[in-house]
Amino acid sequence: MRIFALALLLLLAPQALAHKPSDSYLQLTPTAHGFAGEWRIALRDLEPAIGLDRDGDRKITWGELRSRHAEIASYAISRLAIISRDSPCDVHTGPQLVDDLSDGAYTVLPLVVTCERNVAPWSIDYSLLFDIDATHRGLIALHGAGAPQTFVLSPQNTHATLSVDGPSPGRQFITMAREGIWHIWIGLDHLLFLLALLLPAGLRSRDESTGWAPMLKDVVTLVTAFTVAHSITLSLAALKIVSLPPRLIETTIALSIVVAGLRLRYAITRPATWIAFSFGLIHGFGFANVLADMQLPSGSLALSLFAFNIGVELGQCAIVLLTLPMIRYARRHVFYERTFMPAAALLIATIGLAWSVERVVG
Amino acid sequence: MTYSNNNSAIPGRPLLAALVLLCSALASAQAAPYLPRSDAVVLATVPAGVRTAALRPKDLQSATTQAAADVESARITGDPRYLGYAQSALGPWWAAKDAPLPVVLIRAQIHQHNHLFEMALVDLDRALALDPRNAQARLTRAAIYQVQGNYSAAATDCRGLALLVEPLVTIDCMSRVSSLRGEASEAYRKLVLLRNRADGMEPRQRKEIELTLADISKRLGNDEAARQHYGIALSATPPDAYTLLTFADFLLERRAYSEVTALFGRYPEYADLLLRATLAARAMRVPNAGALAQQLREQYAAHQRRGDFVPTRDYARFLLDIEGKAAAALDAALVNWRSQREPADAIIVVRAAIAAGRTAAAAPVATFIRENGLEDVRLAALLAQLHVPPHVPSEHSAQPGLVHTAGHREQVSPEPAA
Repeated sequence: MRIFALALLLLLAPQALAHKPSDSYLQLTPTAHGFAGEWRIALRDLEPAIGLDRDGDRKITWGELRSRHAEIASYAISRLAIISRDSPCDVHTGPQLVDDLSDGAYTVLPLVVTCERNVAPWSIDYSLLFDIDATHRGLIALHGAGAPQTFVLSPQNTHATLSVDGPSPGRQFITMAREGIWHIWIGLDHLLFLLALLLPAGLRSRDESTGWAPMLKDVVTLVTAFTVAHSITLSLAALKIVSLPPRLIETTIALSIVVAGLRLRYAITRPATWIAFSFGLIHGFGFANVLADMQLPSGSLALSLFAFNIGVELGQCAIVLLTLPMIRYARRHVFYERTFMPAAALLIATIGLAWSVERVVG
Repeated sequence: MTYSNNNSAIPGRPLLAALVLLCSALASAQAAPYLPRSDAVVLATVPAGVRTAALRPKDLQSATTQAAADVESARITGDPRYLGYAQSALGPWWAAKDAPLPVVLIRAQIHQHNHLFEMALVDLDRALALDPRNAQARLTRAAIYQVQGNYSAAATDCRGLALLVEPLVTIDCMSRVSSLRGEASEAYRKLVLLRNRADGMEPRQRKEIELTLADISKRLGNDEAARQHYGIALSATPPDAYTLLTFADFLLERRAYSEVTALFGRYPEYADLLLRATLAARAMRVPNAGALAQQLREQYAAHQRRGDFVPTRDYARFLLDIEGKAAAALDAALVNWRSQREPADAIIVVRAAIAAGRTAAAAPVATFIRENGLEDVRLAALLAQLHVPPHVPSEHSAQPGLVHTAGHREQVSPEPAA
């Protein structure tokens, strides 16, 4: 009789089911150290997986869900691996929230993914619910600069390789060059150091008739020395050949401003080429720190580095082009050399000192 | 008739509808993770008999038992997750070419539920090669042939059941098929006769037979009889997805919109009812119609993101009656028609073709109906609009009086008209 009962059910052809099968939604956004994300998992799926309805009243309450947070988080995380070039990243979950999607309530697990060496290629191995539901899918969206990259992971395809680079090399070059310009413009410490070096440019020759030449010679020498120096250390640091503690770098940069200020105060007439070069080295490490804070695809690191450096140079040139005519005009007046320069020198040195103290103490 | 046509009759309505849509779209766009107000907030309901065993069965016996239970749960709840559970429960046997008979049978049912009819038929042919006297395989194959509109093959399988199962099952099977081949009244009469003679019927068997009778009555335009049969079917056993949605469709056709809303209110967990409830809400111009439509829209969008979405007749109805996209609805309906040829599948093709002004696209459907002598008052009314002569009752009909005549047409409402 049992076979009849079972057979009977099959007489009616089942209607296509309007329900959507099970999906989870994993959203990731790249950060300096890995990814930030949100993972939405249907409560309806967690029920057979770990059993949420403790009191068996067929209702899942927020209390029941909340009390199982640790279990839910460890169940989910044990089924997700995010890998940054062969080494697994650390996945942490924050306090869960709830989201009502069109097909029911989902738990929302905020994710913080930390990769020790956060370098390409990144990949994901996903196995949530695949052991119990062959039709489950993991829908992954990686949000970057442009449209999000999406992946649909299934028991047959549990792996996704993320490409974070996104923009074309040309675009990337422009972005990085712009970052370089921007950095030197907002980086007051680099600006002050450069100004302290530039102010006495061309002061050796008092002869008006010699025109721009001595001044330009000084400026070119100074800027070249500074550029060569910081390019060397920027490259060494960005390629991870040399690395110094950030606090040491920042403090030394502040001290370099003190030195440049004092030098301006007491030895005006000779261009400070050696200062420009030696402290240029430490400023290069400073630029490298900025670069490290930005998410750089390691595949195009050299290009990014070059572009950033070009940007720094362009920013420097702009400063030089803005200040030179002013210096040339101002130095005709005795006031400039007698009063303005010593005052400026003291001011710069004081600011540098204040920063040094702040950076040592802070 | 589409809703946009109705709405445009009253100036201002489309604007209001657009506003409501916009608001609900905004509301859903703003939907964001939140912290429920208190521990007592109910976030979800768990269907009865939900599976909690997450362990994959190790032996064939427990694997097939588990998978069969999952397929049964899928049938009752209409939730395809259970088909995924069933597939997983079968484990290594799922993909095995030379799987044992019980696995082949369950695999065929899973394919059938997923509307992969050709794959289901491969498995069923194999099952019948392994065991020609397997009633379950023959019954399932008859059901698939019937849905595909292959009525002669379905009838052969129904006849093949005669010596394997009790008469009522065979007659039910044969009645279904012959009612679609121009013998609706005779099939109805025979089945009622046998049903009245049988006693001590199992509740599920009773429900199956009442649903057959309801379906035939509906097609013959005998709404009162259909309602009675649905009533018995619904009270025979706890509700299942298929019974609820066919009953809701019947109520929509009868314009019993508030009953549809009540049904959805009672069984909100049945996703198939959402489309029906949305259609009813729009017909009644209830304020939450926009929100229901938006939920439906998001569900389809979410399903499409999975990458395995196949247009169904419900999707075509959604496009036609809710989105007002007649051309897209026609495309979806025609895709569905390629694999599935029940009267409801034919109706949506013809309705979409009329709405899209592409009546020629419905020609294959009209031909199919004419060649098989399929009787359905709703289809007859629609085909009249296509300027295709409606089916003339054939000499097979024992009681021509019960068969529809042109006089029925004005009662016919293929879809809720607002």
